[in-house]
Amino acid sequence: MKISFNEIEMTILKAARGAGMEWGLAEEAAQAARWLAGFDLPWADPLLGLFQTGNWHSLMIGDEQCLRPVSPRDWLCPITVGAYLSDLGEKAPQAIERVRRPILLLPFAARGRRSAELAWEGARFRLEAGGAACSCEADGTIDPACAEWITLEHRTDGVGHKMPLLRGGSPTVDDAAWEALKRFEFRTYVPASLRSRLEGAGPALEDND
Amino acid sequence: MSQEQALPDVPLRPPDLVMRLERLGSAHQTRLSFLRALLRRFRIERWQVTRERFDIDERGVGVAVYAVKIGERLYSLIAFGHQIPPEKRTDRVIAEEWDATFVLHDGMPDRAAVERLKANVPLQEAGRYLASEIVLARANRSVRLFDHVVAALAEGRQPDASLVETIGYLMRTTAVYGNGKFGLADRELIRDRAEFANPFRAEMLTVYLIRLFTVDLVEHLAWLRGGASAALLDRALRRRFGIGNSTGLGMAPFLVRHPALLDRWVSAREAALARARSCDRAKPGCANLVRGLLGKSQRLVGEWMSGDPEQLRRIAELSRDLRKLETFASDALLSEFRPFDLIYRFAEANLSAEGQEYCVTLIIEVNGDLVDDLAEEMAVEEGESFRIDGTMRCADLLRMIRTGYGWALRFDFSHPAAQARFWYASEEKLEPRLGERFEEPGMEREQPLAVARDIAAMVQALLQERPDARLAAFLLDHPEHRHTARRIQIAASRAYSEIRDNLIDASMRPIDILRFKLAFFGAMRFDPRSDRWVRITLFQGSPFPDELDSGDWDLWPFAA
Repeated sequence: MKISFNEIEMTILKAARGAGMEWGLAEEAAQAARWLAGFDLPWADPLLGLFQTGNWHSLMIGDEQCLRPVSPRDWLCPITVGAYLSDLGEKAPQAIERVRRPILLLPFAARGRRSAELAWEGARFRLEAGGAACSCEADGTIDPACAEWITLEHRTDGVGHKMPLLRGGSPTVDDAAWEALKRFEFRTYVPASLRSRLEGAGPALEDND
Repeated sequence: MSQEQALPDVPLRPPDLVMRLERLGSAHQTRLSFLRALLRRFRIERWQVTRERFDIDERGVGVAVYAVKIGERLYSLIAFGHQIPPEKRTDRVIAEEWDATFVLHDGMPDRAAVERLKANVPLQEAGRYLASEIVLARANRSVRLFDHVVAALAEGRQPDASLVETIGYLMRTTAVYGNGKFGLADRELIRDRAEFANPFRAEMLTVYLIRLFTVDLVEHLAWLRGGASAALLDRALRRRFGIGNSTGLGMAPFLVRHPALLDRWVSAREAALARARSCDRAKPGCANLVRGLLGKSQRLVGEWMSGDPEQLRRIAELSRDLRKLETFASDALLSEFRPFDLIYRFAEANLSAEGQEYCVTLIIEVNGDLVDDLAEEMAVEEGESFRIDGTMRCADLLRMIRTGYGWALRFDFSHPAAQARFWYASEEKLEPRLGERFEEPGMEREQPLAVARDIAAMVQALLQERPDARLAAFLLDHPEHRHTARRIQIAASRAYSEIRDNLIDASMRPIDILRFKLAFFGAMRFDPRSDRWVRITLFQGSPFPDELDSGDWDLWPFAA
């Protein structure tokens, strides 16, 4: 179905929260989805996959060069990692080990003030500073379930063959994925009670005047 | 050069005064308000409105289409008239039927588009829309006035002017949706168009066209009923029909969720006030203008009806305040140095909050040439302030909190009353509501609108952290404070970004937030229906599209 970017943002914000993310991270997920949809890159499936595993608590350690899970068998959450990379900007480490749905790192890598290249085995993305343009070279899927080793490097050369930007046109989403995301969104709503109906939005009044 | 001219400009009013709920809840429209700015642009750029279709039967059922030509672009308002049983008529968001439903379309719809819209627009939230639709709205009749006006016109008479004045509108909108809701066009799609660059301008245009539809509709129904002997509305009386609006809690969280935008709006108004106060000499003729506006304001305030005892008390106080202002703002005073600063300072010392804010409106009103440019700068690119700077040290963030959020640290959240409420979204209509935290279920699904409480909690966590730790590392360990960290950084360079009160306190009145936002839209005659529900009037007294070209309408809100 066709949807708007605003619907993507609002639904992902609430779905992420409904899946158990803290609000600040849910905001990051929502912006990430919106950015990916702008380039017609996958966002609904990887986020849904993430919400269904419900695991964004894997502890992460690292130094200035590399981030990795504390437990070597864990996988890191791309929203948590992405937010951390975005927070640190140019001071972010340039390698990350073991991340789920690595495509979700792209919007965060794109926020930098310098052009960058984000790559894992089988896929390589070039990002213009600020995220206005993006190019991609891939052997297979650009949305693998996980990646063992990811590099994030600053680049001074151009982005190359740019992917088209949807610019306000309507993004589309698979109906089943959207329904599944909506089910997570619904977890943020409070069922109506008689009291909430009467008082939650103010008392009902006679409106036939 | 006299010595006095070397004085520095009057500073902006402090956010600790301006951003308190009581003050926000006393706001009045100004000439920077969105619908004022819309009509100025409408007139200057000579936007053209034409009625393209009006297929409506004697029950009010059918379709009407209006076209608006703005430069090379064309937009259209498509109106659907319905017949609904009285028991279905409610302003609440839980309504499922309305007297009329509307869509603002990008371009002229073809036959297929009209059919598609006919199947969706009457359903409102339950329908689906495309990026070719910009705004969705609905309205209900003021039954008393609507029926009276049709009956009078059908008999060849003008309606009772005092009834028109008391009610002020034929229909009131109960929701006006834009920005991508239900598949509508995203704001990104239209914000690069000069006519819609300002926030809510497409929505304001829609409401203005709906108002035109309502007067056309009563004249049309009267003609169907009365034939050749039916009358048209007298032109001056016709302008006394504004458009009503009924607004509930749904609007309140918006301002909390858009701190950078809130700052921009308030900064513009405060900059306008400061420019006027810093103006050394009033223009020739200004004394007459001020006196004229004060006189008209007295009449307007006298006609401001409300069923709410608290609002009635405040209206009476405002009326007394206006008399004090009239006495103070003499010709002699207006010929003094920096007269508007003198007037404002008099208001601050002698008038109620409602009176002080009305005084702000008047000062801005008579200085249009100094301030009107600010009305076109109400938009902000929020993406630019989204990214958190995590390289900052925790001690720096604490310093920022102490500088910008001292107000948030004065509440004692160990008192149940300080967090008696919680904001949530209802499953029923997906709309914001306010619950009692200790009496109702659902607080684990609270929306992140309790800014002061969250700031206080973050301070406690930061105090446990090493001062030189990076914020990024802190947020990795404490993701629950991430949304708060973002706000703090946004607020650091935006003094008016926060409502400086406790939004979950037992005594908090949501209508203060609603009123503030509606005043920025340009609403008048606030009539609270409860502490979370308010009716207002928009465009009352304003010229219609075909009148904008003739005459000077600059001060239309004060026409009576």
